[in-house]
Order: sequence, then C-alpha cells, then structure tokens
Amino acid sequence: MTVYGALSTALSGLRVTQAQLDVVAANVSNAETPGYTRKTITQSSVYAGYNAVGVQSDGISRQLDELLQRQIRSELGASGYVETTARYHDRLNSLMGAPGSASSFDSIINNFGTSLSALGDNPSSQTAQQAVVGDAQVLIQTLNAMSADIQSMRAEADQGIATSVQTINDSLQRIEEANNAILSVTADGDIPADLLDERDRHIDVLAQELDIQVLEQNNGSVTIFTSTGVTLFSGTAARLDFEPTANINPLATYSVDSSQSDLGTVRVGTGAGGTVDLLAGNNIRSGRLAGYVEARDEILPEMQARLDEFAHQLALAMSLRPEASEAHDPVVADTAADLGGTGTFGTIDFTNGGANDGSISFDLTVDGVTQTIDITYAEANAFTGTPATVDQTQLVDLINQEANAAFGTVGVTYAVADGTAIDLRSSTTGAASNVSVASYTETNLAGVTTLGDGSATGGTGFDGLQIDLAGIQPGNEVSLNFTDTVAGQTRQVTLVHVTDAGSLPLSNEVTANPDDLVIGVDLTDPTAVSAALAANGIGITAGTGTGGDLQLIDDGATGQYDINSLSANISVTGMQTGEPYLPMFTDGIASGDVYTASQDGIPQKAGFASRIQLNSSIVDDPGLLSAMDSSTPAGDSTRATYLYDQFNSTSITVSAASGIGAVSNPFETTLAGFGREIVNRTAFEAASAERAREGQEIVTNGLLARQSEESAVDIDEEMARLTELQTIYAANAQVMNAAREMMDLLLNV
Amino acid sequence: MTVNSVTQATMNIDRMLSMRAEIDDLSRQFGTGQRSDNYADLGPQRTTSLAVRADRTTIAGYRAAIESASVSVNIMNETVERLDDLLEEVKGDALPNSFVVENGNQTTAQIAAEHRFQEMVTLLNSDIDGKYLFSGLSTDVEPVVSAEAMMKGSGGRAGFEQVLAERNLADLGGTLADPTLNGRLDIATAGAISSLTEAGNDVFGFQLDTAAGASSSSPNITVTGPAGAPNALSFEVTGTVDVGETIRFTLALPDGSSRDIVLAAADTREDGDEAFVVDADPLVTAANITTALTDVIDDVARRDLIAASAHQAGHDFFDNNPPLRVTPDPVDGIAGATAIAADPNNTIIWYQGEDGPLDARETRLTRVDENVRVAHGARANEDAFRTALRETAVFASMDYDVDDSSAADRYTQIANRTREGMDDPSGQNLPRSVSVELGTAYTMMEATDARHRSTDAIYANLMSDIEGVTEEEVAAKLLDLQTRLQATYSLTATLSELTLVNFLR
Repeated sequence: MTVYGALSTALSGLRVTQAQLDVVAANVSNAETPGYTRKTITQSSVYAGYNAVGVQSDGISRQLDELLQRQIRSELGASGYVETTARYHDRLNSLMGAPGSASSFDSIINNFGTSLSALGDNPSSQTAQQAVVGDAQVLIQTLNAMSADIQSMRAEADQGIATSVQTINDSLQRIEEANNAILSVTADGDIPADLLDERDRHIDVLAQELDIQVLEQNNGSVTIFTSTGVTLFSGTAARLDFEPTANINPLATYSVDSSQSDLGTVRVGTGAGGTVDLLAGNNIRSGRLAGYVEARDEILPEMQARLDEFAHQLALAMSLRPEASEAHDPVVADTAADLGGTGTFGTIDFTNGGANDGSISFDLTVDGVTQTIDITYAEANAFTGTPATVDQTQLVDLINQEANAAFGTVGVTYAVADGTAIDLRSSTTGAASNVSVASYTETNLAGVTTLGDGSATGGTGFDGLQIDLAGIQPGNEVSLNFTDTVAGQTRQVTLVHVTDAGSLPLSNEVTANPDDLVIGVDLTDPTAVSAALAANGIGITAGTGTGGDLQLIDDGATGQYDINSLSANISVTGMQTGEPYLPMFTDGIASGDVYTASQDGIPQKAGFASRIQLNSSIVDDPGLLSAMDSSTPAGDSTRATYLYDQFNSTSITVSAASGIGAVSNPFETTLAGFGREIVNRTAFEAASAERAREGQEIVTNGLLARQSEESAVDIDEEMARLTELQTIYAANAQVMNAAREMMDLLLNV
Repeated sequence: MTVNSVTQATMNIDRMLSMRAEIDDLSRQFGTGQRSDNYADLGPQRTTSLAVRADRTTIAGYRAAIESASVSVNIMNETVERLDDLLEEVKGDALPNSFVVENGNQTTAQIAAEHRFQEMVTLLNSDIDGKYLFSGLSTDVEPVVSAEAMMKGSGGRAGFEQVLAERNLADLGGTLADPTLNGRLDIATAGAISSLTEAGNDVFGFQLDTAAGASSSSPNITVTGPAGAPNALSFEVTGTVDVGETIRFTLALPDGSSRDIVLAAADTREDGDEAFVVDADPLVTAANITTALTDVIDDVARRDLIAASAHQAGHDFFDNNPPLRVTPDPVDGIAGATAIAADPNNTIIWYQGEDGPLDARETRLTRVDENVRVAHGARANEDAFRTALRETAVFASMDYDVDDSSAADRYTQIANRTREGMDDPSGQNLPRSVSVELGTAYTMMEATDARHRSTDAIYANLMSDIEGVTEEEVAAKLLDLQTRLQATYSLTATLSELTLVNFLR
C-alpha cells in the first residue's frame, strides 16, 4: 500500500460520493414528479489482488416491486372501468329526480294516476280533464326529455371512446419513444433508470384506458398485449382507429357485424395489413375504454329500452280493444265425405314389383263444383324420392296436390288426416256441408288397406273458432290456445300481424310472455296463416269465416289438436267509437300516427319514448277523455274509469329487454308500478355501481399507497443520507489531505 | 385519481376532501331535513319509500275526492229531505172530507199543493257548481222542465193537464157536462134481457171484471157473463123477482181499483139509489134494470171512474218516458179512443236527464279507496221523486164546480187516492229512502276519510324514518366531523413542520 494508493482510493470514494449526491439531489428534486421512483446507487469495492484499492459505483437502480406494479396496472384498468360506468349510472339516477320532488319520475307517475282517479269522479269537469291533459303532458315530456338525455349521454360516451382511443395512441407513441431510447442506452451497457420510469408512466396511463399485459424482454424492451392477446406494442406502436358517430339516436345500435352496426368500432392494425375489431371480438374488458363502450352499447340503450317499454305499455294500455272469439261457422265435411271411415288406413306397399300398383278415383264436390280426383300410386311413378311405401301423410299430401290442381287453387287444404281416416274438406269457404265425395273407386288395395268410400260413419268433424279482426293494425296480436293431445300439453301461440314479409321471422321475445310461441304473419291472409302454423308444425288451418272473420280450425275432437280459445287485441284509431278505448298516446304529433307496436321494418317500440306524444285531438278537446261518442252523458265515467284501471290496476307483463325481470320469468306489475320500478331499478343500479367504484377505489388506493412506501422519495431519508454523504465526502477529503501532507513531509525530508 | 402521484400528503388531502364533502352533505341534510337528494342513496328502503309515496299521493287524491263529494252529498240530502217534507205536507192537507172550494174551482189544499209542486220542481233542478244533482249521468242537463210547462204544456207540446183531460174524456166517454155518462159501457134491453157490453177496448172506461164474475140472488134472473169479446154481461128476467133480491157485478177501474155494484130489487127507486123496480112482467123488470144500471153507472162514472182515470193519467204521464197519452181514434175522436201510446213530438217530456239502465245511485261514483266507489247519483224520475210529483200534480189539477152535486164525492175519491199513492209504510218509494241511501254513502265516505287520515299519518312517520333525518343526529355527526377535520388540519400542519430539512442548519 502506498500513499498514492490511499490518494487514489480516496479519490474513488469522492467520485462515488459525488454520484451518490447527484442521486440524492435528483430524488429530492423529483419527490413530487409523477411516476418517479426513488433511485439508489449500489457500490462495490475495487480490489487489487486481495486488497481493496477503491470503491466503484455499480449503477443506479430503481426502488420498484414489479409484482406490485403488475397488480396496480390491472387495478388501474378496473378503476377506469368502474369509474366510467358508475358515472353514467349516477347520471341516469339523477334523471329520476330527488325523492319527493315534484319533478321526480315517480311523482309524475303518481300525479297522472291521481288525476285519472279525479276524472273518474268528475268526468265532465273541465278542471279534471285539464289536469289529466297537463299531467299526461308532463309525463310524456319527461319521457321525451329523458330519452334525449340518454342519447346525448351516448354521444358523449361515443366521444369518450374517441378520447380514450386518442390517449391510447399517444401513450403507445410515447412508449415507443421511451423504449427506443432504453434500447440504445442498454446497448451501451448502462441502466437507463429514468427512461424506465418514463416508459412505466406511459404504460400506467395505457393501463387505465384498457386491460393490458406487459412482457419485459431480455434486452430491456417491452411487449404489450390486450388481456385477450391482441398486440398493441411490440417494438413499434400499433395504431387504434375509431370513427365517432355524428348523430346518435335511439335507433342507432351497435352490432358485432359491422355492416349491421350504426355505430363505430375500435380497430387495430395487425401489422400484416389487416385489422382486428377490438369490440366485436370482445377484446376490451376493462379500463375506461370498456366503460365508455359499455355505457354506449349496454347501460344507456338498456335505459332507453326501459323507457320505451314504459311508453309502449302506456300507449297500448289505453288503445287496445280486446276482441273475443265466436263459434266458427262449420267448414266441416260430412261423414259421407270421409275416406276410409270404416277401417284403418294401412301402408301401401310398393315393394312388390308392381303387384300392388293401383289407383283411387273419386268425384270431389266443393261449393257445387265437381272435379274428379285421380291418384295413381304405381311404384314406378309414385313419389319422387320417396321410400317404397306410402303412408297416410303422403296420401293426404297427394290428394291435396291433385285437388289443388283440379280446382285451380293454391295451398288450399282439401284433405287432412283424422285419426286413421282421411277427411275431405274445404278451408276456403264458410258454408256447411259444402264438400261431398261420389263415384269412389279403388283398385288393387285388397289386402293392403281398407280405404273405403266413407259411406259409413267416420270422422267427427272439425272444431274451431273465428274472430273479427276488422281494423287490425300491424303489431296487433291474436292469441291462440290449443291442446296437443299427442304431446299431452296445452300450448299458447301469439300471432302478430306483420305486413312486411321482410321483417319475418319474429323473435320469440316480441311478447314478454315466455310460454308462448310468437309467429309473425299477415293475419288478413288466411292462406299465409295456415302456412305459418304448418311451418311451426301445428296442424291448425285458417280460413275466412262469416263476415270476413279469421277462422281457425283444428282436426276434430278425435284429432291431435283441439283449439281451446282465441282472442285478439285490436288498436283503436278513432277517438269516439262509443267504447272506452282510445289512442290517447300517439307516435308523433299527428293524431293519425297511431302506436300499434308494429313489427314491420324497425320495431315501432324502438325509441318510442323519445317520440311519444299526447294525442293532439285530446289536447284540443280534453272532453274526449270522457266522451266516448257524441251521445255520452256528461256524468258517464266509463272511459275515465277504464283509463284509471288500465293505469293503476290492470296487470302488465314487462319485457325483459328493459333489464327488469328475466326472459323466463318476466316482471308482472301495473303501469304505475312499472314506473316506480324504473326509478327503483335505476337507483339500485346506480347504488351498486357506486359501491363497486368505492370498493375499487379502496383496493387501488391501497396498492398505490404500498407502491408509494416502496418507491416514493422520503425527504427525511434523503436528508439523512445527505448528511451521511457529507461526512463521507469530508472523510475522503481528509484522507486526501492527510496523504498530501504525508507527501509534503516526504518531499521536504 | 391521478396516476402514481400518491404520496402520503396527497392521500391526506384526499381524506380531508372527502371529509369536507361529507360536511357539505350533512349541512344539506340539516337544511332540507332529507337524508338524501337521490334515490340511489336511500338504500334498500327505497322501494318502501317509492311505494309509500305513491300511496300517500293516492290517499291525498281520495281525500280530496271525498271532501268535494261529501259537500255534494250533504246538499243533496237536504234537498231530498225537503222533498219528503213537501210530500208529507201535501198528504196531510189532502183530507177527503174537507171539500170547500175557494177561488171558484179549487180547494185550499189544492192551491197549497200547486205551490208545493213548484217547489218540488225547483228542488229537483238543484245544481252544485253547474252540475245538476238529479239528472243521472247527464249532469249538464236540467233534469225537470218548469212546473208551468209540465202542467200547461209548452211550445205546442201538451202538458199534464191536457193529458189528464184527454184521459178523462176517453175513460168517461164524454165530459162531466154531458147529461149521462156510461164509462164506455153499452147498456141495452132486448126483450127480457138487460145487458152491459164493453166498448171493445181493454184500456179505457169501465171493464167488466170477469174474475170477480157476476151473480144474482134471484132464481128468476139468469146471469150470463161477463164473457165474450168484447166482454158482455146480461141479466135475463125469467119470472117474478122478489123485493130484496139482488144482482151483483164488479167494475174494474182504469187505475186497477174496482167498484162492486149491487142492485137490490125494490118497489120504488130514487135517482142515485142502487136499486131496481120489480114488476110482474119480466119485460118491464128487465127495462127497469136497464134504467137503474144507466143511472148507477152514470153516478159511479162521475165519482169513482173519473178519480181512477185521473190517477191513471198521472201514472201514464209521470211513470213513462216519454209519457203515454190517449191516441186519438181517427173516426171517433178521443171520446172513442181505444189505445194509449207515447207521442214524444207533441207531449212535454218532463224528465230531461239521463235514463239509462244503471241504477240511479250508480250514476255518480266517487272513488274513495283502491276498489271502493261510493254511489251517490240520483234521477228526478226515479220512483221516490216521481211519486211525490205525480200524486201532487194529480191532486192539484182537478177542478170542481160548486154547483155539481157529485163534486164533493169526487174530491173525496181523488183525495183518498192521493193519500194512498203517497202512502208507503216501507218508505221504499218515497224520497226518504233516497235520503237513507245518501246518508249511508256519506257515513261511508267519512269513515274512509278517517281511515285514510290515520294511514297517512303512519305513512308520514314511516317516510320520515326512511328519508328524513333528525336534527340532533345530524348535529352530532357534524360536530364529530368538525372535530376530526380540525384535528386533521392541525396534525397535517404539525407534520409538515416535522421534516429534517427544518432541522439541518
């Protein structure tokens, strides 16, 4: 060891201490810098042989718990998500108004109910009539205004998506820049602690916007994916693309199929020139972006659907006239017209090399017109593509085919299976006994079947009901209840009047009832109704009954289907029909804009809450709320009482699309009760979202606090360190001083 | 939340801010008395709050309805009670034996009845706030035409007086001025047979009562009938009739009452005696029976028949809507009329209100509870009010000539029928029955109102439990928060001094 050695060792100490001081200075000055982690310098001794000859700095390291950091990033995404959704829920909740205030939605509902009640007590009072008009207007204006608010919130959410996408793109860009810098620094073998801080800061910003996974590479670079694995950053930044929608209205919906979607989606380039649709693939599950998307496509549309459902129920409750069925006018063939009444129809076997080829021929008279029906069931020309046997069903089809050809009709049912026999009938006309069979001959049936000419007693005829559908409007429903004796169950079919074939088939959720089968069909066209029922495997046929009624006929008491009941609801369009029903609420300003829940084209219910109006005829003449026609006595409260009952007592079934009740177990209530449930459910959702947000805030804050303990700069600690470094520096300097004095001493010897 | 900038200091700031917000919310609660200004913050109690609030609004509506309806029912009840009083007064005045004609042709009781009739009409036309009380559903239509129009007719339409006069003419077959009235019975002699034959209608005049039949106590008078179409009754004298022997038959009168006629054989008879003179010659006896019948029938026509006719005219006019009246026969005029029918274009329709199938009470309903509607309507033409109008009108309408010897008896007949018409021990057809029903409606409304009041009070308590706050509670919370916030402030201030920087010199 030499004096020079001490000198150089002290020098290295001074150098390291200086570097340490630099770090302390940087720590103190960056104490409040976002994303700054506390830096420390690790140092080690420099050895010459076995002797320490100095000290060296091994580089700056960050005080960072990487597991904690990963968890924080995930929680940041969750925070961004719940904060965004909670904010929208909270705004929806505030639309409901303050408890007890006159403008709260439930007060508006209650007031409308009360004024209807008062009108029932005083039907001719102008004050009472005006009160109903006034409260109804407040109600519909509230519905209109809330719809407008919901749609402008959706527009904001759409804008929020755009902003979020912009933030993501900016962050990815910054990450790319920081990453490149890091790569070049690490290439020189240094540790770029501040650059790492910078990159982490931008990754954290990104994590708030969407759920990401970050993978560190060995060379110090990072790769970033969405949690579902779509690459966002891999050396270069991907670019997200989003097109905001200019005008968002209730009819604008998002669809995973972009050709069906009215709203923009978020896309990201795959690098191979293609793009991935992040929304359609459900690739964004958390973060602000997911929150905005959920608000735009789920939360707000559901609230709109809730209000639409209310408006829909409100308009229909007042305007639907229930129509009962009547006994049908028999269209039933006499027993004399049955084929095979005496025996059992077997299977005609063609496997016999032509030995069983044969024919049936008979004259069929329908409404006085006689045609000869010839059916040849030769093996060679029996039925294209059929098996080698013919059963009852196939023979029925064949008779229908031949009879339609003979009479020049299309799709008319002339024959149906009735037990083991075949009944002949006409579904086109209403007259009784209008079908008969004569000159029945058959060849080569012996031993195979006992089809006969039906001269003996046979089928018991058909049963059915008919219903007057005069004035039926698109969307009006006919309910058919029948028993399927083979399956042993009673079934409910709702036939919805649809005049636009392009809108078919209808979803089963057009009605709230989970137990019915919904069939959309043009109910003014019996042929179409028959075809629609047949297409659903229901052996009930439609025809035109007396007075143009729709007639539904089953296959007789001994057959498979028995019609139990038939009813309809028809939208009333006139104000003075002599009945209590009236189109009190319309779809638009003109009184002709009736609301019938039409399913033609876009369902009329969509966005109805934004369009619902009080019928202008009632605004002009509130007396219509009591006057069912010009001769209604002033004190007659029939209509007013009906309106009151429809609002306050009559049970309604709420569609699950409103987010209230389930598809399989729909919510049943009254209109007034539904209005209150809207307030309750909206408030409940807001409270739940707020609780989720608070919970998330506690988790995230807790993690951030731990990170802060780990990584934040503690000024006291730095000051202590400073004092320590000062001492070390002074000591090193003292060593140098001593060495210098020793050198001087030596030189002066 | 900002990213990564959370230091101990900023977390302290967050905490202080949230305490600050809590203080703001508490002072809002203090000011408004409400726990929350939105439904979400009410918590699970929110459904109760919504339901209770709806119920309270509804209850307020019911109570307002009850308040206005009970005023109306009260006024109506007083009106009906007055109508009942008027009816009793008319009845009390109509004494059968007090025939003293005042101003020429009417008694004091009749003149008073006429005034009471006018008051009845006025009462039945009462309204509240422009709504007539006795018009059924047609609350905008004055139910009863004026007393003047009802009695005298108006605008070319006949009133009750004309309907009454026509009915009298059709029943009597002539007027009181005629020397002889037969009440539409043909009385004739053919050989030894004296006979009575109806004019061939079942509506007007005397009807021979076939159920009561006819008889003779004399072996020498053979009775045939009453039978046939038209009904005929004959007495064939076959030998000598002894004095004291009688013949008997019954006349049915238009109002459903009847009059037994018993003629006794006598040696002589005076006008008005219900007797016939016997003679050895059956032919003469038969002629004498005819003479007696003619005289007695004339007497009964002037007393019983005309009174019954007037009473029936009252039923025709007041009990039917539109009123029924004699349909003139094209050949014989009213005196020979055979039918009664409505002639709405030429007759006053006294009741103008609604007259549908509903029970009169059901024409005005007030909802006092979810499923309870109290009925308190009325129609001026319901039994109770109609009876009062009808009997009073009939009693007041008849004129009496002081020189007419039958006038006093006729007055007695009319007065008796008026008293009978107004007499109903059960009270079911009198105004008091309506009064009872209205009283029940009123009591029910009051009881319901009391129940609503107590329910509302319970609900109000419940609401304030859910939504309200007590001042003490809020004040205590505020104080606590204030203390904590102050402590946090001063602690933060102290802590900020506690940094090594301040101690390194």
